Amino acid sequence: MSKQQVYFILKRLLYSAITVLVLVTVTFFAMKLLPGDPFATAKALPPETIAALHAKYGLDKPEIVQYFMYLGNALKGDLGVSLINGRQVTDIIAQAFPVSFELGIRALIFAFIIGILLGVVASVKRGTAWDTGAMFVALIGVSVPSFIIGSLIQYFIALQLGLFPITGWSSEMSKVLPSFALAFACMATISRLMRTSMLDVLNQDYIKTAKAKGLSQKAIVWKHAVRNAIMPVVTVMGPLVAGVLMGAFVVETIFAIPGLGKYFVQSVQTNDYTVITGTTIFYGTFLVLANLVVDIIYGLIDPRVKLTGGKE
Amino acid sequence: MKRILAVLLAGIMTLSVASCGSKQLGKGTPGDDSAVLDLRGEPAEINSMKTADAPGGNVLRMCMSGLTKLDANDTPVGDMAESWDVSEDKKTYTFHLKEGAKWTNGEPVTAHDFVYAWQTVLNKDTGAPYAYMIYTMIENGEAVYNGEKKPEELGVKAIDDYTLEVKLINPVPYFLHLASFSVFLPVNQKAYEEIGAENYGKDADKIVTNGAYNIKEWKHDDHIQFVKNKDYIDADQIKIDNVKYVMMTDQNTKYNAWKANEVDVINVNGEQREALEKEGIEVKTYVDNGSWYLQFNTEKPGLNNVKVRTAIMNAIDTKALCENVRKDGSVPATGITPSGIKVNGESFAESVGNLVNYDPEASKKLLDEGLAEEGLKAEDFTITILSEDGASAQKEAQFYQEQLQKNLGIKVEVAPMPFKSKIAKMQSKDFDIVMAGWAPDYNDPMTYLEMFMTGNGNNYGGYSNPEYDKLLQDATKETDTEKRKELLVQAEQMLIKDAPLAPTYFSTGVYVVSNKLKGLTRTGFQEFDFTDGAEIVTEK
Amino acid sequence: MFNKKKENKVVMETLPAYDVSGTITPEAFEHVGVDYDNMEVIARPSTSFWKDAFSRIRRNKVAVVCITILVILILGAIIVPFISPFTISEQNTAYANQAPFFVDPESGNVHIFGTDALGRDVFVRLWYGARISLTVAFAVAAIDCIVGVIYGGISGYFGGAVDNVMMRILEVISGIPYLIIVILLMTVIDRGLGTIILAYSLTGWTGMARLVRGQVVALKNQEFVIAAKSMGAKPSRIISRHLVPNILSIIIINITLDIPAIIFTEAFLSMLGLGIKPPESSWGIMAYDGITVFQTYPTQLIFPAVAICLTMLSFNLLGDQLRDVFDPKLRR
Repeated sequence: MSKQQVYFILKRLLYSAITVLVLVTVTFFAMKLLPGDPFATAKALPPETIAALHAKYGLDKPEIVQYFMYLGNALKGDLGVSLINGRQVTDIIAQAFPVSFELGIRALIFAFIIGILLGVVASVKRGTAWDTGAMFVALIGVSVPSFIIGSLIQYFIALQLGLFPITGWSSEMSKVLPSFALAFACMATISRLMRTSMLDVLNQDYIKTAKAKGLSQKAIVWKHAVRNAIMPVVTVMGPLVAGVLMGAFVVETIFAIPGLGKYFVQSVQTNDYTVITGTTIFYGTFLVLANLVVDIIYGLIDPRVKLTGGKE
Repeated sequence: MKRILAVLLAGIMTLSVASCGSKQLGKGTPGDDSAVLDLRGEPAEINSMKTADAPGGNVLRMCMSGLTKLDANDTPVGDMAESWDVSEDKKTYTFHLKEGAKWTNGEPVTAHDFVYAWQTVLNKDTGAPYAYMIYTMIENGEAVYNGEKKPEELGVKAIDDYTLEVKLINPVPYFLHLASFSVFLPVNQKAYEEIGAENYGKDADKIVTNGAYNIKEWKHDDHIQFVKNKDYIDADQIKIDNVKYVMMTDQNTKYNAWKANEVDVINVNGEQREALEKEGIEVKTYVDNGSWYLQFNTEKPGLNNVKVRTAIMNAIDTKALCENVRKDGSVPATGITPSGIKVNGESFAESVGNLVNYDPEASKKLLDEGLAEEGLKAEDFTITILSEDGASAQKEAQFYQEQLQKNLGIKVEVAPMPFKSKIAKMQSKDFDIVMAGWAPDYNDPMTYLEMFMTGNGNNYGGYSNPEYDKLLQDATKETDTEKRKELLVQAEQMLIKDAPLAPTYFSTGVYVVSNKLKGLTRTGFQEFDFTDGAEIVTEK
Repeated sequence: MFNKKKENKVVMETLPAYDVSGTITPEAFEHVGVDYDNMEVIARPSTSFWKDAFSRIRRNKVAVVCITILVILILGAIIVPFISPFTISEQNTAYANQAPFFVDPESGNVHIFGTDALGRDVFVRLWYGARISLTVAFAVAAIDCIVGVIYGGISGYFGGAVDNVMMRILEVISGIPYLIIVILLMTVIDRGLGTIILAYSLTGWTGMARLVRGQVVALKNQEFVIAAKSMGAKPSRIISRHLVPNILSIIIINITLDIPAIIFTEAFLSMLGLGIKPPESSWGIMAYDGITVFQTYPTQLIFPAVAICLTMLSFNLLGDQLRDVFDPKLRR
């Protein structure tokens, strides 16, 4: 790595930190605008109890004071305790995120394998019924909302056929259906990207050379084309990971999986301020870093992309 | 493309037809010393002093033992308390505790544990939402809560290790029932201080309990595993060794899990009840004493008129709502206190009589009359119904909307919103009509009626009638239970006549149990109770 | 050799074009001269970008089918609610959850797709839902497109610090929990079509902006841009006249892919109760209501689900086909 590249990476890291800071700031003040009190329950509590609870969690101070207190604690790694269940936000993330992460990774592997296969078939048989068929199958995934896909495969495959457990995240078998349900959404993205990328590669001169040499179709496709076409697909995996992790809420609910997606949605619905900001910091950092890593990898792999970009 | 679609559809059809009945419905989970139940959500924390949520209450009922507990008929019986004496004025209770009970850390359960817990609840730093249940009940409570008196001055004393004296502010007839409620449970001081207030009750290893079951494992948002507590004072009455509470939130998921024998007990909705009954499976119900109603903002022009409110109350076909829409066994409301609430052994609702009569024509007339008094016309009268954002709440809201539009010729809008937003709107009186419901805290009409007293925190509609307040105040001080009942009957009749609310239905809990589990207690006050002789029956 | 111009016009009719020795003599050729009349005649119809694209689409069967389906949906959404004997809110709870082709015993009208849990006609609600869902989808896509193109165009074209700041802002916007924004809007402003469109489009444009920026960065150093610059064109002109037309195909494709995503979002937010104002219907709400009863009354799920799938498939397939049609590299 050249000095310039190191400088670039450092600069981007600094920018990323600023981005996350702004993100937290905006989220912090936006969530305070959400109507309702985190301690409000169906049965009205006496005002003095509400006041005592506010004092206990520092919510009685001016918002700007709360903000700086929060930032100070967050820098020390203390994201506060949930206002709803009293647990440390860092504990919640530490327990729930690995589950969401595993679910996401499994889904991505599923999506990757099936997506690549469909993409290759579609591109090699471009313009034929195979192409349409493969794309159709891939598209079914993005065409059906995940709450429908999830409920249907749970009903038909798990309940009616009895092949998998209905709920839980413990045995290997119980992890198959949720991963599959989540994979559907990004399978289509991958297969289409693969198709386009393959079509690009198949028109290149070295493929023509390989054809001219008399290599079999199989060898051309799998040895020459796929290996090159897969690169752009790999580079979108970063953003896809972030997307899949955040989209897991529905699948987690349907299969009763103890993941982070549920906490996130619930926290917004219940005005659980500390969990909202905690998960936002976490996801925001994840997203920004994913973008950064992809940019850096791009620059390292492809010399045509200038890492020092931006300057004319 | 069509062909593929057709093949897909055909495939799905065959799948569903071919595999029907392949499962043994209702067989239950495997294992003859364990049961699995749906807790319906993650409990907030297992700290009896702070618990205010239903799942938390259910977990505490499993693992904690208080002064009293409710039997299968919701009658309070002694749990930690062997017996008790009540003073002449019914304001002083002296409990004699059972000796030999132990906490899971080996400490004996004594009267001091109750004193410590109740005093700690009234410490504002604890952040106990239900502190008011103690300080409105026990002598000097409010002063202690506000720091004007020392905790020791609270009207609860440990006369010796096994004798507890409780002094009440009023002769509350339902105090023994209330004593089974989570906020009145004991806490082991040593354990609480060792673990620390901030961490207590957050994980399985950070709780010290004294109840029928111990928490063996708590995987957050997934399940809680209980094992029978050998040291429990009535351990010989507990017949099931392992109980697992799982946390599922999606209604279809629960239903599928039950059908696949992954869970023994789930609550079902109206549609699922229908489907199960079609398959010949017995569905059980219990009166959960939920009272549901539309609450009016009595300060809004138009709705400030009692005729308009009464017209709206009687223009909703609640029978159709219960039978065609909810279908879960809910019954049309006759007043505010549901039929399951008993006073002196009789249903209170029966004493009050039916106060709600669906009559669209008369209502329309009454509405026009009322609106004319306020200088308004039905055609220009627009009201908004505030509802929660869940699917079933929105369905119900649309039912009311259509009923009022059709029967009264007024314009009705529905505003669904998240729960906390709805509460905020109610508190700021920024609503016309709000869909609300009340689950009782104790087995007495007072829990419903006191909501509508002037200045009560739950009186969002701003209803105020000095006569009504007086009736309830008199009832609170009355020591003769028959006279007290008479006052409460008058109060409820007066309330519905004034119509600050339109009662709609009394809800019912509908659930289905696998064949292997028998004797589980489920009532409005005890969602699950294994201590009344629940057992596993293995079929041959 | 053949292009050589001859001065004299010689006609040699008797001689063969070539002799046996193979030598070709100049006499074998006839000078036809310049045909001034036909010089400027356009032998084949001239083809602009749009015309070419259009003819390609017309020849593409899948694209035609997709467009036909979408047109039918749009027409149905406009017309059906007007001519149906039922309204979207009319309830008859005594006849709730009826199967398709249920004949209303009171009016004698047929509920083609049956009734829902409140006894409302599913058929008219479905088409009314199409109205809402498609309006939201098109409106949001349009807003996303306009904002995204302007934002991405400016960011990409100016580069440097401007680009850096704008991209960081974009990262912040796409990082703010979407739900917070939607709930805020839904509770602060009255529910309605406008609010939903606003809420959905607040963060939706970021994807388009990123895409446009990337394309602009790739194009802005090409000769035609430099030429325009050197001729003194203003940045606004260069972006709107030179850069945007060149990435139009990508923008159009992205819109067709965006629309399904918006319908998706609508369905997801309906699931959380943040959708349209009751008693109006949308596909998302109908599908969500359907999923809760699909084991007992499957048709209540099947109809909205098929409608969503069909629309999504049409847009997605159309997007794919358009990509092929517009991509110069893939022309054969």
